[in-house]
Amino acid sequence: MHFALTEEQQAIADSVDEVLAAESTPAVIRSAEHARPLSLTATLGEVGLLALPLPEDVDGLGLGACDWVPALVRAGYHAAPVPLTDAIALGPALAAVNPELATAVGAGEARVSLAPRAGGLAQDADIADWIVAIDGDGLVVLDASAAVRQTSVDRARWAFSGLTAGERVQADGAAVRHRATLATAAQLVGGARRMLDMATAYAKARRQFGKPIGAQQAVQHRLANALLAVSFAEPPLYAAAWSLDTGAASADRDVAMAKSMASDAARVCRSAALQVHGAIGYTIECDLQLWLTRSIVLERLWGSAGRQRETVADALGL
Amino acid sequence: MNLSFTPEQAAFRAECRAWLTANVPTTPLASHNTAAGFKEHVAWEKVLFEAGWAVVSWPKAYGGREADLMEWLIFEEEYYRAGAPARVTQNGIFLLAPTLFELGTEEQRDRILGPMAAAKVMWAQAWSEPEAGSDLANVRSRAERVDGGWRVYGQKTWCSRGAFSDKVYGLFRTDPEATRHRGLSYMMVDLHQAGVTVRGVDQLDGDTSFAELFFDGAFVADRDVIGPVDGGWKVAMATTSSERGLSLRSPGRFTAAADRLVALYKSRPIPRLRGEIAQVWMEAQAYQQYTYQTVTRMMAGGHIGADSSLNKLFWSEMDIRLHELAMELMDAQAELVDDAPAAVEGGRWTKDYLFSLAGPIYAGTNEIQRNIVARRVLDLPRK
Repeated sequence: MHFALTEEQQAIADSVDEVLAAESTPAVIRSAEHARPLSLTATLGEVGLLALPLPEDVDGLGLGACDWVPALVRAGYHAAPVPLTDAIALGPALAAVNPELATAVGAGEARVSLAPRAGGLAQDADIADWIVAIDGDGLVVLDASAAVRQTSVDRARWAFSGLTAGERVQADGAAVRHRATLATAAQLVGGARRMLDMATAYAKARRQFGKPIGAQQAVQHRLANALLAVSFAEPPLYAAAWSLDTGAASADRDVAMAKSMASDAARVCRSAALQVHGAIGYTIECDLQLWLTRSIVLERLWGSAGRQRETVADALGL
Repeated sequence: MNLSFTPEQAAFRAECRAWLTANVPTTPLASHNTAAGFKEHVAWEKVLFEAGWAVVSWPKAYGGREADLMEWLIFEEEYYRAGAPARVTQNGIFLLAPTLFELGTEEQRDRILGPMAAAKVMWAQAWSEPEAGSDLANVRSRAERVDGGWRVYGQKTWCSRGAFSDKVYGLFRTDPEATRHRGLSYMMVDLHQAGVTVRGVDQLDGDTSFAELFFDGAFVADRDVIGPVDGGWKVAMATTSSERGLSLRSPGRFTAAADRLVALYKSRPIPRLRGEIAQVWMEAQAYQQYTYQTVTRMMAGGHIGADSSLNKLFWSEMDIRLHELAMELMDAQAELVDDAPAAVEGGRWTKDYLFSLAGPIYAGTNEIQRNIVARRVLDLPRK
């Protein structure tokens, strides 16, 4: 039992962190509303993030969830306006059906889009080279020729509806769903941590009654609660990643637990961060909104906390 | 990241499980917070000690088996899984002993640890006073210098199981001129002597285990001061951080309780509670995973630090929710305790519920813990 990142896992996370700190700035995230930062996808391809789960015969790194989860926590911290979940979740399935495209996706030169189900929203459907939805224990290819962009509360998100289901693809649909759910949970935890950091910094700087609002016990305790929620949501990410990587029988339950805890932590951090910021936090001008709106989307994607609790309850035989 | 147990750890777990399965009493002991029940628990401690399971993480010289922190967690998981009795030695072995290992003298360790592990000398804590609760530095009990030691005067209160214990440890003011955390000394006091009055206090759960202690000239030898005279505050902080940290509430206690809650639900299901029960079960798992993470860091030479405050907040508030759910499942029977004929499981859940309500109070209130988290982890200002 060694519950800590290896040096290699830490190094992957650090390199993603470094790139995104420089390139996923609030200005870039804001610009994604009008034009997608395609160069950022290419950069993430260059640092190897998108190739992590791909097998080596398509120029991938053949690594597991324990390796990409920490990197995706960092991606969530920087609210990278790139649909990382789709590439990470679909990579191994795509490698089996279209190795050339998988290589290009790993390099950040091509895109895939994954909808939770046919009829659900698909991100980047207008520019994706392969669009699929989970369909029972497999996948189904989606046609985007009549797709319409929907306006999301997260302005950086390009989500489409109106796709039509085509032929089925033989793939491990459950494994794709597990990776997508865990990747989403990891980004939620990173985003929750960022909202807490922003609120903490604001509480130190903002003065009222002649002192920083962060010196008030009511504010301190609210932020302590947010830290509590995010701190205990992180280990379940790694426990679920380990279950996926070892093919544990409890994988379904463990992934559900990770997403449930992550969704709740994001909700707690979001409301604490908004409350601490006060009215300025309720503006588009304040950068907090970039993480706040993202967390509202991710909280429900691949199943909200409540739905995940149902999965866990089923697994426990309740 | 490697969340598998090593073959050695698996073997250690199997050894723990085999012994506990064969030796844990099949009928539950009487409450350890009653005089009769305390005696039964002391007898169990002697059984544990004889078999070498009383203090697994200690050096062999004091009755331990030199288990590392991860093995200690495994032992604790198995201990609670087996439904073994509450540890009445806990104030000694988990709270005083780490202080002695870190800050005591060789003479103190040799003299005190063996009888502590063997449950020959039972220890209680004596921190709180009528005017020093959360504000521990407001201690007023004092010690006067005499030949060969000190005479102590004053009052301590809320000493858990103090009514049945042989000795206590706590802070006494040795420099009458000093204030707050200066001029305090960490002393061990024998309760079986003139100048000590012990008065039991009935607790919310009906048991009499709390004690008020009145000191009127009781003697403390020089060798029973831990750390420097007038330097007791730092010694005490070492104890409180281990109490809040790992040793007081290991995760096995909560994962076992969560599993029992799942079983209770299955025996009397209320479908609207499914999600909440799944939630508290997850929280017990998360606490276990968080602890594995902490222990991995500590085994690599790290310190627990202010994380111990996060731990204490998490388990104490989870424990209440867990027991509230049990109460709701028991519905009208939830009020029944002490082997009332119609009680569920002898009223155990209700007694445990009452005890869970004390969690946010003892070992440093949760309000104080949130202050510590805000200031030491989030670095928020005092002013």
